[in-house]
Amino acid sequence: MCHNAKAKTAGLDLERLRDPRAAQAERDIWENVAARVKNGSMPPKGVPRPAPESAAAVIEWADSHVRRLDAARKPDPGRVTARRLNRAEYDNTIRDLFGITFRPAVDFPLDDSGHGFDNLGDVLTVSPTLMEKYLRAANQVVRIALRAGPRAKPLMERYDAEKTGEAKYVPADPEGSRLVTKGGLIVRHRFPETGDYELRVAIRGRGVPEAPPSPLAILMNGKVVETVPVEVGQNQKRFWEVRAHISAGEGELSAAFVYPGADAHKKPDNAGAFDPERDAFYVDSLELRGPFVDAAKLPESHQRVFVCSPAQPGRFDYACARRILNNFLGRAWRRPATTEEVENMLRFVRMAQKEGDTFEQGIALAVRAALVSPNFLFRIERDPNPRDAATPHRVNGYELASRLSYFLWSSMPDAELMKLAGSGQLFKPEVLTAQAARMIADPKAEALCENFAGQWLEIRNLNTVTPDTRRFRSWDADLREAMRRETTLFFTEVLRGNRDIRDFADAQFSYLNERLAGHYGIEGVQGRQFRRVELSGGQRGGVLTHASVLTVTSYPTRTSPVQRGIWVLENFLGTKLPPPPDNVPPLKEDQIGKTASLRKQLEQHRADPACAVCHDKMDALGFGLENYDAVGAWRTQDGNFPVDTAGVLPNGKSFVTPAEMRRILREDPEALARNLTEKLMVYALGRGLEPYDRPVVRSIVERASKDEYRFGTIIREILLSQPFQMRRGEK
Amino acid sequence: MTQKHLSRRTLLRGFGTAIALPVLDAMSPAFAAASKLAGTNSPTRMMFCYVPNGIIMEDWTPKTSGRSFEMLPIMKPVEAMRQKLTVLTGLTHNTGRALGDGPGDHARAASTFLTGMHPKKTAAADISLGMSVDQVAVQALGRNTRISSLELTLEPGRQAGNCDSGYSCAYSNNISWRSPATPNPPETNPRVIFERMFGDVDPTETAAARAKRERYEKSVLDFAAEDTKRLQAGLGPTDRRKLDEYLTSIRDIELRIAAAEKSAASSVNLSVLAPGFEKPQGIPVNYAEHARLMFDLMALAARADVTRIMTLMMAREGSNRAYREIGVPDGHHGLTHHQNNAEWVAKIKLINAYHVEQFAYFLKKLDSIPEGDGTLLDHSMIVYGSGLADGNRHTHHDLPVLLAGRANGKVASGRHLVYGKETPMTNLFLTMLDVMGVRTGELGDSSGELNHLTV
Repeated sequence: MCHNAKAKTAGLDLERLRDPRAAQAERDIWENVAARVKNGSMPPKGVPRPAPESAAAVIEWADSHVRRLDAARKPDPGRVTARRLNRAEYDNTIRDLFGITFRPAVDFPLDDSGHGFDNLGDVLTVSPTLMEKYLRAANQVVRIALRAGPRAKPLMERYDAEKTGEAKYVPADPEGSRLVTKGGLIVRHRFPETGDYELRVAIRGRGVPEAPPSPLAILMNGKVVETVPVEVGQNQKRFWEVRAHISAGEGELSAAFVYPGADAHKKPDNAGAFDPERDAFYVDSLELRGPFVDAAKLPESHQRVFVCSPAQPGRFDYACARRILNNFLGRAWRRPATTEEVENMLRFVRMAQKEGDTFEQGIALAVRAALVSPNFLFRIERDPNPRDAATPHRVNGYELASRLSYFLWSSMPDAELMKLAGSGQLFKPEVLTAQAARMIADPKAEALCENFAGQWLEIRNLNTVTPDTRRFRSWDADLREAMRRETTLFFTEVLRGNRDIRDFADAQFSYLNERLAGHYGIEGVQGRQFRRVELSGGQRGGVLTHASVLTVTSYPTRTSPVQRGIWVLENFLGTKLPPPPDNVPPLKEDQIGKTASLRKQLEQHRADPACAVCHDKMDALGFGLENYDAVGAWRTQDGNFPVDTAGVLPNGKSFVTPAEMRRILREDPEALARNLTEKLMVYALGRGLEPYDRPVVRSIVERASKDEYRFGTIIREILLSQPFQMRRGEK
Repeated sequence: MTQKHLSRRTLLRGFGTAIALPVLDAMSPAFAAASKLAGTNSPTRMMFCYVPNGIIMEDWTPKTSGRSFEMLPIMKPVEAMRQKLTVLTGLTHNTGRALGDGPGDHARAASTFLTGMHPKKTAAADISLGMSVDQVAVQALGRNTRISSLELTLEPGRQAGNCDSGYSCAYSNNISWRSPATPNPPETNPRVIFERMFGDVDPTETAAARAKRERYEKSVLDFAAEDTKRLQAGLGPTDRRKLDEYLTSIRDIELRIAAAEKSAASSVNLSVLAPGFEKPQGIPVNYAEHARLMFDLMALAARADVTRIMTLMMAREGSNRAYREIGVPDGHHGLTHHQNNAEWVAKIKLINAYHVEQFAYFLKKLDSIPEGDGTLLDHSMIVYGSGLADGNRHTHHDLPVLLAGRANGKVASGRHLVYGKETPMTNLFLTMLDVMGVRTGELGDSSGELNHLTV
């Protein structure tokens, strides 16, 4: 017996827990015991296994014990600290509040994260720098969205390639395909007003007479505005001009040479004596002139705020001001405004009148103020008694609507949600479930991919990885985008298709385009469009085989079975690993793949029992993925050594190929289901989970298991759970 | 970016002849100091430049002390300025050590660097460290300039996952901390920094229009503060503290506006101050260009006296950036666990010297800008260093520290000073604060001021 009072292996003394009173406090231990015996990781290999009947008896006893304790326990929904909108939420909220595309938060400082997510109330702070940015952003939003005060004068702005850097890949359509180009240019520009703009593109370069013609495409937000032929000419500046109608806000303007059917990695066959200095076309600069505005046409964003206009044009109409502010505050603050709040805001309209400005300017000033109010910037929930931690209460309808919309959309509730919040209907389980389904089908739910999956699977880190291009010649920005796209589309499919979450572990399909399929060695996928591809042959399937995940868990020069193992254990299965001990001797990196395989070295490394405790688990999972190199391409050889992927999983089951490893993971979905539930709850609630949340997690996982582990079921059960619908005060 | 009004005949290159400041559009610039520039009492600037993952000390620490030491390869790029430099050896950050908290030396290296405090090991809610030296100076002096301090970095923080052995990413992404729970997140984008310094308002705005705009802005701030207080009334203690943070930020800005209003100057003529300097358009892809642009901005901020206190991270702590442009395709952090492999050590030395080379550019720049009786470098104190000495073994003693500038003649530069083992790094900071005229009894684990440094 390992876990008795004497041996206390892993600090655990189960004997003491035989006493039911002692066991009361130790619920989590028994939950763990049941799980470990169930998945076969306890007792460990080398120790005689109990007969199946006695193992089953242990599981049954521990399970029922935990259930009994949970039933007896007084439920506690916990409390969430007021959450400041993070960068993504701020931008999305502005987008939905005004109907403009403007991302002021790209200039905000990075949000800190905890428990793996950057939307936790306790972790999000406010600094004076951020406050400055809020004030400025509010000012800019109002200038862009509303037609108040002096019009923006037409300006000319020029972006030089010399200062912004060449863009090799220009995003060209929402499917994520890209125009591969040399010498393109992308700039982000804030268009102060909706109206016409003149774009003037200057190019240089002589061109190659033998090469196929390469038209110049001018794009606005990835849509081609115009394509112009570029002939071979002199190596001097040449200009093209187009005029386009552009909406106010942030936009991406680009110009790129289209090489039809060309692969960026191949040199043109018939390039001849190509002198890049002289011959290569490149975009020298982009100039913008505008806006040229039709003053009579008010933009939609303006009309959304100005729900009425003064009875006498040009005069101050306070009845109308009240209507406007009542409507606006109700949306911006995500709850109805009180009469006092509306009256208080009228001061800005009066101030404008006193200063000799217009009615519209007064409203615009009030809107600015509303956008820097904590009512807008924070999601604040009220308790009837903030110091009463013992009595849970339901959040109000509007608070529930915000919880729902910031969870699924990272943005404010829409009109339909607000209506259901006001009538109290939203609390009805069938209404809440139907709304969730509607919201998941909405394009705004991409935020859940971007923000939840981006952090859960760490694919956000694709932005910062830097594989060594001398070793991994295929790596470039196009491939990076393709990797991101695959995982995004795959996650979306599991979410929208309400699929079995076991698909994350192993699936028979993925989303690929020609570039990524080529990277994977899969034939028959042509063109830049991503499409669903049925997989066969066992090399790929599930996120563990996505190049995105395999790349963010690697070093620039090689794979890291340890990092990959940790990723699978922590991100995927939710196993908490203790930190490594101090003073661990590092690997002999220069010998990897030359005089010793990475596997051999790591095996020596974990001969030390102190290391073996965790590394046995981590390394087995990591080695199971060694068939994929540091950018996720398939390989059977690492340096001078054949790849050996065989291993034993924590549950004692052994495998030889990655496909077998994934099958085993798929067959034992409980850890994945619990982990995904926990991660989604942290993200949905905006707080870390506490011991009192474990019964909730347990019951959600149980229900999911009875419904084929559907993603939608987990989401629905979270929405219906106590922590999501209730809160309490604090001691 | 070049900008002009189509309706105007004259093409205004750059941002116009004069930038009407402010950022916050209301905060007009306390360019009071602009008038002082001609006089002799130039303000002293305090800056900190952080390099991650330690330095190969065998090629850093001079073999002899005093004036005639020989500069070793990593320090070579700053050789030309040696008379205005002080090399400090023997300083320690004891609070960066584990002290029972286990692994996480990178998180501790960055977080302890300017605070001298031991960070609380946590991944989330209860981040706790201490105020950093730059912010102690800001508390006393920040109101003298329009922006109290600038925080910059050449590498954004990690975007997902954990940063170091159970330490929140906040610990390795930031070196400036305004309170134990609140870091000042650094900015990566030169354009954003420029706009923060000089604003993006219409340069042709009239004085009357400007005054009105400022009245409006003040009323918006007043409202935000009132609204916060109203909201706080019905909240529990934690939520109230969150909103306190917000209120403090509003106050900070109000105070700066008040300070700015007292100053007579309302705009700075950049085309006179820094002819040819154009507004940055974004983040240069090339690391050295990015570094130089950031240093240009810091020099400009010092010159225009926008702020006197700045911090820059050459990369975040634990950075695994690859420096291909100098022939190092491997990640920096990965390399530092070199186990004395000669090829790896050589690569790290290249990175170490490359960082110093960027810093040398900054020093040359500051030294080329005359101010009062000397140059900007003469009127600055800039610490260049790391929170780790040996990145392979994660040591926190005998840290690499270089102090550039003479602080208006108060630092006796041109020497290599060797201090006794375990001398707290914070003693240097205490001395620097004293030079700035800020008296604090202690900072972090300080035990007193450093001897021999000042005249």
